[in-house]
Amino acid sequence: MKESEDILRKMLTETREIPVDHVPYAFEKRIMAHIEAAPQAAINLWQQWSQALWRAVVPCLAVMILVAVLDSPEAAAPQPQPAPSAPLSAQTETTDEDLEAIVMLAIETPTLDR
Amino acid sequence: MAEPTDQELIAEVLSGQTASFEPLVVKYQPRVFALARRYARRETEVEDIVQTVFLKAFSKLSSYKGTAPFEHWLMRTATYTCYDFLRKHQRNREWNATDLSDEENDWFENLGEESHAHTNQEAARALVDKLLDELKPDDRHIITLLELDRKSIREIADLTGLSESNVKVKAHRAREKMRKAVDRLNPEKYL
Repeated sequence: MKESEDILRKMLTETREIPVDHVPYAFEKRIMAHIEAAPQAAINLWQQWSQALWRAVVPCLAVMILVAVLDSPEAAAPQPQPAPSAPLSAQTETTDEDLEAIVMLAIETPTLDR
Repeated sequence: MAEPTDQELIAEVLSGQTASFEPLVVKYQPRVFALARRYARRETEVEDIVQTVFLKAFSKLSSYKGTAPFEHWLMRTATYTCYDFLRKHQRNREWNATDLSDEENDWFENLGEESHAHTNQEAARALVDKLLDELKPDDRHIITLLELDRKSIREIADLTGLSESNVKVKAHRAREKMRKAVDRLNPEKYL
């Protein structure tokens, strides 16, 4: 156990002695390039979004005009008359007759009771 | 003309002068590289860690209150980043004496000799890496800070958010595991 402890200590000591703080040439330039590119990327995203919106304006206008043109003859054509007016009046007449029958029946009912 | 202090540079960066961050990078990058090299083996991985540390520091610079030195704040960010790296690259591999390279075998064989010192530090480092590979990320993190980065128990407790007694227990357990792994790796014992 003592031996393995000594070996471990030696291993760690030798590892610690290796210089590890060297920096690759111009590494800070790489960091700064990333930092400067990051906000640029955000701006580019907004630019792309606004360009896409502007590009969509022409097709949207075209579709709008097409729909307006296709819709206009229909708007100018005479509106069809409501068809169910005749059956509705027939229905009204029937209702009047029914009402008359009901009233007559109500008048006659007391004589029947007698 | 006197060089601007860290606080002055930070104030400039926060006011929009991004270029003022460069002197901070130049000043502290050796320390961040030294820490990152304790955690990652490949130089590309080390550079990625250091880059992440500085980009994080730049994006969170407004959260630096200035109550502690900037170096402490930066190194805390660096330590968290290194720990994240360990968790993402968890190896948990168990090595045996048969896995050793010629240089690593030679390191064990030359142990008793006077000329051993400074003979092959890279072999020693490779062996330590093998021992660390067997530890869980949080144990490895603590033993790296304690044994390689020479941080005190209190500093490690501050950096990790663990209690001092917890750090001591974890460090002791990790060291014990490493000692057992040394026995397993030592070709003299294997033969």
